[in-house]
Amino acid sequence: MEFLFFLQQIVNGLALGSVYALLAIGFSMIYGILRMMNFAHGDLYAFSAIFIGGVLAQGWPVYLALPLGIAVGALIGVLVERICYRPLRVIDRSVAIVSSLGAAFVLRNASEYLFGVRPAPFPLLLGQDKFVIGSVSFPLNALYILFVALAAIFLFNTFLKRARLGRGIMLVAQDIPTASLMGVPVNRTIVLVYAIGGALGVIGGVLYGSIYGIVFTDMGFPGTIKAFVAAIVGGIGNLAGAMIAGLFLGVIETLVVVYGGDWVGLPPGYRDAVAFVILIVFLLFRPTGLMGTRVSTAEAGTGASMGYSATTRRAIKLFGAIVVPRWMIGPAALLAAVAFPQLISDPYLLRIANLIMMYAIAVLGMNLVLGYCGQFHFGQAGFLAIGAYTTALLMLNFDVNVLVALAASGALAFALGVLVGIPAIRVRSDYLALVTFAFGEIVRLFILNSGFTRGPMGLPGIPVPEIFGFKIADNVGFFYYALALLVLAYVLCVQVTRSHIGRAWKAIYEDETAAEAMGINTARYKILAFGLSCFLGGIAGSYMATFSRFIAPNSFGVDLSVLVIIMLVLGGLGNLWGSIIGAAIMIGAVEILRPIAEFRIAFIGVVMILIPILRPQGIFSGIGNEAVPFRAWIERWRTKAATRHAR
Amino acid sequence: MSVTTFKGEVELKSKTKSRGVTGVVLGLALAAGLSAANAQQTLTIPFSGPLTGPIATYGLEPLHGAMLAAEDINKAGGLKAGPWKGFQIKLEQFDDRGDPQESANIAQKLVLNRDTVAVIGHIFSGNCLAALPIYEQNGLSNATPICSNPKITESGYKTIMRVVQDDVANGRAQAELAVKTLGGKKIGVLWANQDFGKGMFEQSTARLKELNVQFVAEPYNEKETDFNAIISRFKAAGVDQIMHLGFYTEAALQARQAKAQGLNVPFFAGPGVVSSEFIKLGGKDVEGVIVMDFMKEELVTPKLKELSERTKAAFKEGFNLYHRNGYDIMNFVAAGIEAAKEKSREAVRVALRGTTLKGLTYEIKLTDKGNLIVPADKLLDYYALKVVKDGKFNDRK
Repeated sequence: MEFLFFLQQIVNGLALGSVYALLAIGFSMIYGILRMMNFAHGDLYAFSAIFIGGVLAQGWPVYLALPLGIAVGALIGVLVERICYRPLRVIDRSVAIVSSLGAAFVLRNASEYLFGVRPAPFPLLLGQDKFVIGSVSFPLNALYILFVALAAIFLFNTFLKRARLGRGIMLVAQDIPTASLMGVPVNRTIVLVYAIGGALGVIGGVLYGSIYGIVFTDMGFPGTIKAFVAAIVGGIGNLAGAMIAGLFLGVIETLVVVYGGDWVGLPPGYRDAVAFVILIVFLLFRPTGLMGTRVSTAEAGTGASMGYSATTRRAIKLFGAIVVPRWMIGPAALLAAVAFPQLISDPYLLRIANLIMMYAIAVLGMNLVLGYCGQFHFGQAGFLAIGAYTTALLMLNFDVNVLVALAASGALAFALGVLVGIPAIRVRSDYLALVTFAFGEIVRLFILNSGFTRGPMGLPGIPVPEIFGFKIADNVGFFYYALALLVLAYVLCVQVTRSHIGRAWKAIYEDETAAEAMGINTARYKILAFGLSCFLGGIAGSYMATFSRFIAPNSFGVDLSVLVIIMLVLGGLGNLWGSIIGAAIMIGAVEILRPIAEFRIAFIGVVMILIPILRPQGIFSGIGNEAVPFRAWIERWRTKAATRHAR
Repeated sequence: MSVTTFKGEVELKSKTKSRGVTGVVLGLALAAGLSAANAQQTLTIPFSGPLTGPIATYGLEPLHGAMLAAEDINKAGGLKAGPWKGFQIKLEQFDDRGDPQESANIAQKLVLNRDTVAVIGHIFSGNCLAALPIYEQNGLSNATPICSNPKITESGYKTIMRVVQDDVANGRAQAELAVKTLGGKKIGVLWANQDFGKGMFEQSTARLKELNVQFVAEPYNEKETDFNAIISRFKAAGVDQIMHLGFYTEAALQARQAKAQGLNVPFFAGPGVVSSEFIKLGGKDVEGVIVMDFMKEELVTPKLKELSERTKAAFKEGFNLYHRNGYDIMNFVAAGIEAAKEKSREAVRVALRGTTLKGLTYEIKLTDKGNLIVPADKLLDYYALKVVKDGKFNDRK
């Protein structure tokens, strides 16, 4: 009986895994070819699945609704490529991430506007039948999904090997310039990949909907993350591997929920954490996946290693010189900031200013690691959470002074940041983004599932902080507190980036192999970048706890990490002033745009798409990222010329 | 500005396109009907909650309920008594997307307008807790139509007004109904791993322990869609009832998956599930699900029927629990303002704490901490069991 129960759990796990497998195959195909993480993918398939659900509810037959929806998905895929990726193909990858996140925002907002905010029912197209052997029941719908997955693998592999277009895709995957020299229409081929990716995503979304009978606007994200984990565990580009890993993930997750509590004392709330732990383990110890060998991590460089032309450098120097004499900016800004609460007494504006400064501290930290050192860090929310909870718990339970709590928050965040930095020695780029993202999520899940943090209830009533006998109770007090922290953080960043550390970071950013050849201990400097970055995240979190007086785990989701990155890129990678400006833009936009509630997020999304395209170096030109559209233009022209020539 | 041209216009601006059209039409009709009352003055009541994003439903439903109440008040000539006698009510919307930080920003903005004497909001307990210190500092009353975390009123804030049952009342009532009325002997408790779900879990399982009833409790994370593992655990444990403490989306999926796994025991869902959306999502798979509602069908007044029709016409949605809360809270706030001794925040605050209102389904009167008074011996009178049959919630006979 016990064994049969276990067997049933395995079957349940395989059924859940079949959905992951299908999504993972789609992901693996696209990622294997372009090695560009499409952050709009989840929202693309959510949008299309909701669209199909709506069309079916209107009474359309399945054989019409499905192709229509797939066409919509493919079209969105093409548009995302055309608008968000193509102009940025040769530019730093973190910039393209922001523009694709912008596309995701727009899609989500459009879906809410067109189809409503409520989850919608979806017909159970695959039925709920099952066949029973002994006392173990096998759901048929999961079998159908596995069949679709196998068919997709077979068709896609055949297409790549046999069809002319497919071979073109393989060539583009190998090397874009060579492909264009060989006469492959590069742009058209990449568009095709995105179209196929979009279509496959939609099929996955539809099957997901028809198993659970529901579609909703944010269904994309959880599925995408699991799919990506499966794609990596299976080995990127290895479709069979992705499928097996997807099934494996489903089984593990099910076993954690069923047996986790009894065997290892792991509550079911940790089911997602398991996927993340698997991800971290694989990326660290077997980054090529269970069986894949096609892509090695070392190949997937940051993209920053691409050189930049002398013209570009000169252009940047010129523009940099026109603005304002540099030495004047600092003192003038500080003076203005100190006087600000005296001139503007509006507590609402002061509050917004406080929030901006709080975020700016976290963004400055992000700038060190991503803007200067070029290391992806998608887990800053986790460090804000660590800082916030450390401060809150110390002040609530031990009546500790706020400055002591602040120091403790910073120290703990630094220590854990160093820990997170260790993977950076081994993995790079998108993979590092995933490891750090996974770490951030594990922190959140830990807080959510622990007793001493009060779990989802959050910590209310954090005491009013007192510094040197002064109680900080109003927005003016918090303004000066935030300003002091921001100035210290800024000075720290300036000092560090101007020192040998900053130079080492820049060297790593430009070309890690070369940096190593120059004798730079890249591992140590990368870990230091993470440590300092997370330290500032912890400081910002500590401030957040005392300023808000209430914190809860859902404030520290992946949205927050993403927001910090958006602020950084908008302000400019490697530009410390830009970090503050970026924070001001995003926080300001959310507040200023509140009256146009329906379109608020879409508007921000459009800004996120446009700024990287028009000014990939950020609003303020940076020293760390010299890539400008001019170079993109040259590159495009070259590709075009080459293509024309080959015809 | 529309405020000066159409004084007393109830803003029926809605969040989706289809609803938007009707909203505009209604708004115009209303404005035309009230053109005679143009000379009247307007009192603006801000409403804050998630009005966009994935959890917008929980903000929009009470907002729509409150709009209907404001419409009723304005049609009857505005506020009936007090320093604002004859004033029309205008609801102003502030979207916080469910983000506590934004709620606090909105609170900071609202307290600055000295003409604002009461706020309706916020929707989730986390948002409420983040905004409360700011309201408290500025003495601005805020009345919440949904937040049920006991902490909100236990912390001793003077400005909070909660017109709904808290987790203590809901959780204990659900446990009692599960055992005493539905005869559960071994209950599988499914709770949402967020503040509402956990509050309900703590209170209801505490009561189950008092009643000496066995239970297995399992949390689930929000946005999850596959609950097969938990359900087969319940099946193996031999539960004779599933008690759900969370929201309708997950409840619909869980009921479906329990049925598919052949776990044919009563599925008893808490107050977060009483919504026509639940039936829409679950279809025939939620037939037979029992829910804890607040009103027996036979007691439904003509007023509720009328509101249900108006909700359908204006917003293309069913009249749910949260609409009712929204309707009640608008009337409650209005009653408090009418009872105020003078035009000040403090007068309104004091009046609200002392107001007694006959709501749509129960009497609203607050404790000196601002919590709804629910007499322990009458606890079960506040609730009614309903069962889903033929795509509708019907009284459980």
